[in-house]
Amino acid sequence: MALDLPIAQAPRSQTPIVGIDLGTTNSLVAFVKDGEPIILKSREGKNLVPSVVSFSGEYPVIGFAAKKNKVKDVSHTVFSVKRLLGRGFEDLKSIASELPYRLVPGEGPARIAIGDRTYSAVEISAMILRELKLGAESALGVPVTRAVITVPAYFNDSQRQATRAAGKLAGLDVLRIINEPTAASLAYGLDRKKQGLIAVYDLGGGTFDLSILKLEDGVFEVLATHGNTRLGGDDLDQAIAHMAESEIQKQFGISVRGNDSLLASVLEASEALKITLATADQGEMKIALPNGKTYARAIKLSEFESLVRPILEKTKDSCVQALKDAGIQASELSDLVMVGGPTRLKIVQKVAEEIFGLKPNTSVHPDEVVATGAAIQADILAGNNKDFLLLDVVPLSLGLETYGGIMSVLIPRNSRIPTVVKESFTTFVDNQTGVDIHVLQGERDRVEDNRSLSRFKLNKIQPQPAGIPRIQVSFLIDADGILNVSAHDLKTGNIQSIEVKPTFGLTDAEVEKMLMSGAEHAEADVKYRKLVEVKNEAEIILRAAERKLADAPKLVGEAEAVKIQAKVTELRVSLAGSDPEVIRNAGNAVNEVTKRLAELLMKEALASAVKRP
Amino acid sequence: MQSGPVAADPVSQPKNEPFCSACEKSLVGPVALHVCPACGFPQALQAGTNYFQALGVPKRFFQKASELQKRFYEISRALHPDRFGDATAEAKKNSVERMSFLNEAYRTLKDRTDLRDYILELEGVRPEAGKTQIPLELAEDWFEVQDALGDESEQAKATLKNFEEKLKKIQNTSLGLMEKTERELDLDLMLRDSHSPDIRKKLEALAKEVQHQSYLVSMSRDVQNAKAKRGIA
Repeated sequence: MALDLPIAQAPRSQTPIVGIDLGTTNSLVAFVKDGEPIILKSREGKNLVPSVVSFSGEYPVIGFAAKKNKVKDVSHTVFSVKRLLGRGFEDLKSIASELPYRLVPGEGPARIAIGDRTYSAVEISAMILRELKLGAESALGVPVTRAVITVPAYFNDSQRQATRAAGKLAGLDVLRIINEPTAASLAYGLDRKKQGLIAVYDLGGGTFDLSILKLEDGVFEVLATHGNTRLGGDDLDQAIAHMAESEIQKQFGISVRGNDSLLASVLEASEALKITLATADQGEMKIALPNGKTYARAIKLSEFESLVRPILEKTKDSCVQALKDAGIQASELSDLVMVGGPTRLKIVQKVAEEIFGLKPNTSVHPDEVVATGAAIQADILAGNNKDFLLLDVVPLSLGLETYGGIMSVLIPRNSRIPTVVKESFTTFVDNQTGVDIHVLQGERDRVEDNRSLSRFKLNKIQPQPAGIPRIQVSFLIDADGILNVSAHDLKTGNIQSIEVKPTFGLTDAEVEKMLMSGAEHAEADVKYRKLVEVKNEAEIILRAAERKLADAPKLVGEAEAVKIQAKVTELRVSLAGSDPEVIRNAGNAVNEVTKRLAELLMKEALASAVKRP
Repeated sequence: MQSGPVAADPVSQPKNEPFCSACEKSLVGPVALHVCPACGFPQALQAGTNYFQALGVPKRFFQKASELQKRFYEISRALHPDRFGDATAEAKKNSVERMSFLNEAYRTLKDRTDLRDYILELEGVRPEAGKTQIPLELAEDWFEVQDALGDESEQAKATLKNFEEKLKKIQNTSLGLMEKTERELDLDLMLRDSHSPDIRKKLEALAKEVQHQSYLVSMSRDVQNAKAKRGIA
């Protein structure tokens, strides 16, 4: 029901909830309109937005426009930033050499150096999300403030939190974080004809997930999930790139590593070659070298397949483990659903078939199915779809550090979420006023082999003899798969204060600070963002006004129609400029002059609604 | 299936008919206990609720997997946090807490061993961990086995093999006994309250057998580990 309400009057709960697939390579937005999921066109008029941000010009550019700069302006262009989300510099050392942009050494979340500024992965992701938000607003003609965002199922707590923080920074209320393979299953099972046990094999740009689900009467129950957050299509590009690199070294004596722009060219050519080989039996790559010569290399499909097969076989462990955790045999599966761009490659389908002994189902759109599923989940959250229900699990075990550097598991992997476990803590020495709790995620015994999520400190405990205080701590994993910790004193019933120190993530206060702080964003960024937002709002007003214009003479008379036409033209002219104040005023003027027309149109709409039997 | 309180099993339904904390209508039925059918408000989780009440199934050692799943799905459809995307903070909190409890209830009742332990715990007869005794019928053999494990001779291997067979037999007998007691208890519980003396007696016997079984399992594990360490197939 489009009532063309002035933007400020649109009640928040009526604003649409969109589904967003924030991908390593590409990102998409989708929305369920009258029960039908649709992919929303980007502002560039495409179904997807390449997850690339370029800082070449005065303002950051996102999408295809930025992708063009991947080779042209290597040092100012950031891509595959999802691989950095929720991770620290130390953690990323191994992949740093594969990236043409620079990471800044330091504690906490990793930062990327661009010119004389640095950005966190959260900030870059927020820019991509903001672009998606603007695209969705322009496609839907209303403000978009609420979203469901997908993450790889095997994302840990820090990575999920980082994703949520990026959404918040982009001005989105993130209503739910959902797992990509689970989202894909929603889209796959949309017609409700599919029932039984399925496996979703989701190989994305940078991550791999395998989920086993039970589909029954609209309930999508995840039985088990496993994956690898460092395995994806990017690695296939890297394999080709490594081959090219060593041949360039051998034939021309030129070293690719250390030459960022050459590395970017090699990566681009490798990706292009991979895409060619999804449909052709052979391909060729040509790379211009700094010495003026050209590296040219033809490659047959079979050679490519043997090059990447070892990488793809790494997905087997996850598949076997997920089946085991789900307590089923591969033969019980009724379908093997392929998701993600790289699953277009025959070799990926072959490897999956070998693992499961089942013909892969490639009928879903590998790039769009996750966003589509996110939109369906958004529709569920909006209360429009009461037939479907997702029941998901937590991918990794959650535990605490105990004496001797051992992790003791509190919540085993594949537990259904939400889930809560309560543990009681006490003091070890007299008058101790604080207790440290180190929360870990992972499957190994030793603390250092698992991921450190957070350190919590129970503060201000009443000084008492050792062992007397009883503090109960609740570890709750919510429906987003994110940990929430709260504590209370079992004796007094009082809420116990907790100090939180995320290892790689951000505290809520830090996210707030990023939101508020002008220092975090150069003034130019802030100004630009304001302009884009004002323009977007104005475009929505303009479109609505243009729709109404046809009925204007008949409803309000010629004279007023002409006045409206004039204001609309003024608005259109102002939009070509870049003064936010002028645009805003022109938009307000249109709103003002069309007020009576809007009222009359609404009355007419109501009258015809009443007349209908 | 719209079913009322389960007949002849007063334990699995709360004693007093509960009321919705938001609209004060009475809550009858397995789903209504969680989410008020009249106003849609998810009820706060009451302390002392047990897993059988949460899922609306009778307290039994043998649960039908299909029935548990049916109930779990049915309640989840109404209770899951996804149904409260636009609700108040209180509704959201209640939904998350109840759903967490329901998830744990479903996980526990689906697993034969966890279900058994849970009933014994509810009845206050669950054996304390660590308070176990070596089964008398195996005590003598166990010491022989300890020696044989460090020995490579044919005789030692035979000792090990014999012990494993004996252990397996005793384990099976114990499992059979447990299952028999559980079946009897399920029948008894249909007719009588768990406080009646004959039921208490059986529960205590079952708890004892659980303890016995856990010692057998740990013995078996020790033998396997020791064998693996010495590279014995």
